[in-house]
Amino acid sequence: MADVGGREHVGRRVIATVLRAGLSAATLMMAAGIVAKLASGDTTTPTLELGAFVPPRTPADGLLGVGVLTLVATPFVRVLALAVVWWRVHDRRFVLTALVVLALLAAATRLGGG
Amino acid sequence: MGRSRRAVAPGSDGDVTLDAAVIAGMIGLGVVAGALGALVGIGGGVVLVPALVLVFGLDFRVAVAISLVAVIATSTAAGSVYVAAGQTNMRLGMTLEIATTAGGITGGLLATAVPTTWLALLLAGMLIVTAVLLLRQRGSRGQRGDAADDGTEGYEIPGRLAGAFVDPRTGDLVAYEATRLWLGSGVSALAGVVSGLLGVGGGFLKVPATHLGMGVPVKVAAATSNFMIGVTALSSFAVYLARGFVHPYPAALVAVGVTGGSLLGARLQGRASPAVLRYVLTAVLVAVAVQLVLRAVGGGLDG
Repeated sequence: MADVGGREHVGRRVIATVLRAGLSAATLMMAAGIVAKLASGDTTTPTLELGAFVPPRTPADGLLGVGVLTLVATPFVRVLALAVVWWRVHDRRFVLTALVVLALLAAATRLGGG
Repeated sequence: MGRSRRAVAPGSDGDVTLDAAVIAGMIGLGVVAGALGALVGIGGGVVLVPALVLVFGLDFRVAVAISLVAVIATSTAAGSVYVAAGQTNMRLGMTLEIATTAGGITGGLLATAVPTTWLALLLAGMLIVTAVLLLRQRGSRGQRGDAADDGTEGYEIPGRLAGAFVDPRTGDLVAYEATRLWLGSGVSALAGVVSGLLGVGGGFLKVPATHLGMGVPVKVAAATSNFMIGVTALSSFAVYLARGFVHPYPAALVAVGVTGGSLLGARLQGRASPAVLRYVLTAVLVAVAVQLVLRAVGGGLDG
């Protein structure tokens, strides 16, 4: 039981690290994108569309777009990481729960574009 | 994802000119929304959407998409603190995320198809009822238990929707087990729909339902709600992204502000008492209800 408790503690640290890392990377890229945009003198703001954004019009647009996408992808990665964490402690009920949530999130983009 | 689906043309009501006032205003707005969101377990969208529409003149659905990005930033920033501290029940959160994600997708799809006036009025009534219930609540439903042994402020019990956390004010370990999952799932689904329609996190529904309806201590309920709202917002955001409503520059400005505000609010939340949290949440519920009624009566939610 103490081993399970230890792995639970490690699991919490893993998830907290995933959230912090995703947020930090996204914030840095978004801030850098804003600064680069201001430095370029371009004050227009494009719409973010996955299909139309690659390749981006400018490096600033690309940096900022990747930053926003990194931020919104962080909860998805967190769900995936939890599935792995719970798999390691043999908590299969909640592994299945996480997989259902991942499937729903994957379906959202398809339903929105359909 | 084709351009024929785009409801906001480039250079029109979704765009802003990036001058100093706009940049400072959007970051400042994000700081306020982030702190409020972290303190009471909501995403701050109730502040952001009206401000983005009324102050910055953005299209309602563009504002909702920006708010959803801010909700994700709030959840991620404050969530990292709560998870590390052991206040979040991640198993409970993940279980409720099934319903709230399905609701979020539904809300995102409905946002472009139906007027939201009737739903806003219904929601306003529900918020007032919930606010009254919160004011009548006395004390925590948790039970005293043994001290935590891993140096954190709480833990979950594997395989169950249960756990315990150390109340930072008293130092006691408060044990709990969530009940009435059907109620929490139903309210979470509704919260997801509302999140997708209005760009709010839905925590103002989830926290009372988890606390009052499922018997989870309010601090765990708030931390778990904060954990969930990121996934809820992501499910709706995916729909808005696919339909061309996402403008990354305003979203990034607000998100950067929200990140700072969320971390500030999360630090302050650990020092607040459950009673104070309930009063703050009650005030927010009433404010949101009044805002919803005013906007619905004025036709501001249609279109």
